[in-house]
Amino acid sequence: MKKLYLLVVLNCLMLLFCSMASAGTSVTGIAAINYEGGVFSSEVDAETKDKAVQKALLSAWKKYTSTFNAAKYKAYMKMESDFTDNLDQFIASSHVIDEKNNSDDRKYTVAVKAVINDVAVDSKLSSASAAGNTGSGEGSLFSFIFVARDTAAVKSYDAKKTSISKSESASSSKENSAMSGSGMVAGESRKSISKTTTGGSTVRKADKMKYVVSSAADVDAAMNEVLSPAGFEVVDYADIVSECGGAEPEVIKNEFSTQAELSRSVRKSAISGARECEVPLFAIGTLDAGMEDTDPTSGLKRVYVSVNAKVYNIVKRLPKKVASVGPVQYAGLGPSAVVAKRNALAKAAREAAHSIVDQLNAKGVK
Amino acid sequence: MVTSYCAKIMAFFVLGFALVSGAAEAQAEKVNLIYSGFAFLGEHVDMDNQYKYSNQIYKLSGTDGRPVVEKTLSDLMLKAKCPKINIITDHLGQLQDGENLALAIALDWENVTVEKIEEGLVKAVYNLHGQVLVFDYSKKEIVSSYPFGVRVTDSTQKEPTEEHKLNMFRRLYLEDIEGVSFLKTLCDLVKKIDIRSDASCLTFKVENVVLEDKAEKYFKKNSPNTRLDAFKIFAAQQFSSFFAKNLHTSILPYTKGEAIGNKMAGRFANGDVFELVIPDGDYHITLTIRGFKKVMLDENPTGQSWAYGTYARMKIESALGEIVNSKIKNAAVKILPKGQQSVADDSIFAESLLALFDKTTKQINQCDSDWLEKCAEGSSTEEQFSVLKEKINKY
Repeated sequence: MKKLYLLVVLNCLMLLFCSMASAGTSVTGIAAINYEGGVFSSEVDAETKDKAVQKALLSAWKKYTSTFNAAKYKAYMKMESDFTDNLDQFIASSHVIDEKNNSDDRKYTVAVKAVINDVAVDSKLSSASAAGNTGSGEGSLFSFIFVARDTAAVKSYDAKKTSISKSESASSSKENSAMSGSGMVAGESRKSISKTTTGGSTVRKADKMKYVVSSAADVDAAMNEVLSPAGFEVVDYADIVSECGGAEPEVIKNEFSTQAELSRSVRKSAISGARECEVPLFAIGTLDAGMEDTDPTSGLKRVYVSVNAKVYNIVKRLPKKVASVGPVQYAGLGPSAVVAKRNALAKAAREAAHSIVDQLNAKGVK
Repeated sequence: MVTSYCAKIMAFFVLGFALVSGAAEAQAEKVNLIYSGFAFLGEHVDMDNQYKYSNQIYKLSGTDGRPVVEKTLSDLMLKAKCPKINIITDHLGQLQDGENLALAIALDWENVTVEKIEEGLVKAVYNLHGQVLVFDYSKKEIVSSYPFGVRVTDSTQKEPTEEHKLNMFRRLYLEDIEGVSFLKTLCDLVKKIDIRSDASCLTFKVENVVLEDKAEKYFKKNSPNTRLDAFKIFAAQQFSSFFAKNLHTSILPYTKGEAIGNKMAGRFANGDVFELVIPDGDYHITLTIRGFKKVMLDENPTGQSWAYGTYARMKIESALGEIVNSKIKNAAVKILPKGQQSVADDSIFAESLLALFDKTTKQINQCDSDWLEKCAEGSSTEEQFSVLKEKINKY
């Protein structure tokens, strides 16, 4: 029975480890430390090794933070010591992968691989942000309209070419005459020069795109997954329209099916509705799925999604742009084009939401 | 009477509990592997060229629309009694439930060489090389690999037609030729699978395969229709497979390819498993293929013997610098009967290369001075191999 119990506990621990491992980012850090050795001993003592490992972990941490985007790094710098003084809270696991002892120089070098808990890092950054500091239900209301679009038709225009050709010719002649005893011999040598100049202009007309607007449920879910834990209270745009008015979602979808941006009037109507409902932050974005192709490595279907988004602070009369994303491309893979597209959309939405949160946190928006 | 009856009931329950808990323990010792069927190693773009015949055979389907190869394989798998693994076929793997290991029977080399021995006698050698592959989708590494190959020789009066070649491979897959069956041999290997829990924490990865000028020229001359990258992937995969097998350690794949990126991933319920990105290894391996050279060893009235030499360099480095950097070589010997009119060199060079990877990875553990002197850089390589072995055991 004890064994069974132990097995259950071990399995739980293994699951916990697996889930932690999958959420982490692996980084390798290196550190060297000089040590005082004994006269007859070149061995490195445990304390020196421990110090070197701690230094290597710090080096791994610095390497990790150097991958932050500008907005996230700015937020991080404000509270760097909160992280570096408590590294064990953010490092899920670590182990030595190599070490070297140069006994002549009394120098011990170690390489450590650390698995950093991304979720813990993001939670800490979020808790210190203006939005994250608010209690549940007190955070800033945030609403967004993100539209997922598929390219339905591309009307391509051939480049219009105008050619101009100009030819010029010139000739010069020279008469030679010579007197001979019996008469005169006359001859003419004619040299002809011709010059052709070609030129003109090419007028290119942008392709006219038509889109099919698809369900944005996956996009909404992926955005919520990031925005809610960051301290923002997400409000469904459909609820804003029901309660306070504003452009109908269908109208917005129709506009986005033929053009890249919303018309001035529809955008104004949507923002007015949100403002009326006292929603201070409002985002509009598009996620455009490209045509599927086959990934040459795996043979899976591959779909690229291009994301473009803008976040406005609409508290005052004139909306202020407080964050923007893209255009950035993300690829999704799957056994069918549908799965590949959903993977790409979820990834693009999650990354866009992360970027938005980082930018809002850096600006202290709550 | 009542006491005896109660005692019997108690004994029945105790025995029952002991049996159930014993069975549970035995089950618990076994590792669950999600069965992924048959797969082709390498990149999708190279499949038609690399596995010309196997690809055609895989497309043959039975009355139920299922590939005949898959049906034959799963029938064989059901019969396989594996003492250390449970092969899961009835459901898709769930990563969040700890079902992260997938098993595939993978083909990694298909080759046929045709040589004219004399007028009216043509010899054709059919090679299929594969591996039983266990991949961990949580750690993204190959945790176990059992490479093996089958070969049959066929003699005909004329050069075999494409149809004849296809039929020979079909028989190797779906029947047997003189007792040699590719799928059956692979299934026998599955019984030996043992996923070690005490394996090293270090992750190795072939990061780069370099072809020196001589090797590249040879390759372009002898395999004009094959992508250079396809050969690099082949070399990296073969090395990785022997490394995992002979050193009982995990290795990250050089490329996820079609097997890991598609076929095996398709056996998991999590759709995002297709988004798999292979991480960097702790120890980077660079393989340099320096060249191929054949040298005549002996000649007598009955024929000649030739050594097919493969020359390479293996470099293994950690974040702190090089641990191994040594030249390695191997020779495969081929006997040519007198009067043989044509010789196919490429398959024997490929075999020589595979043997080089097998022997070298074995030597990291064994450190046989004679082999290291003859086929590597002697004591210098021996010292480097000892250091590497120590690190694998230590970390």
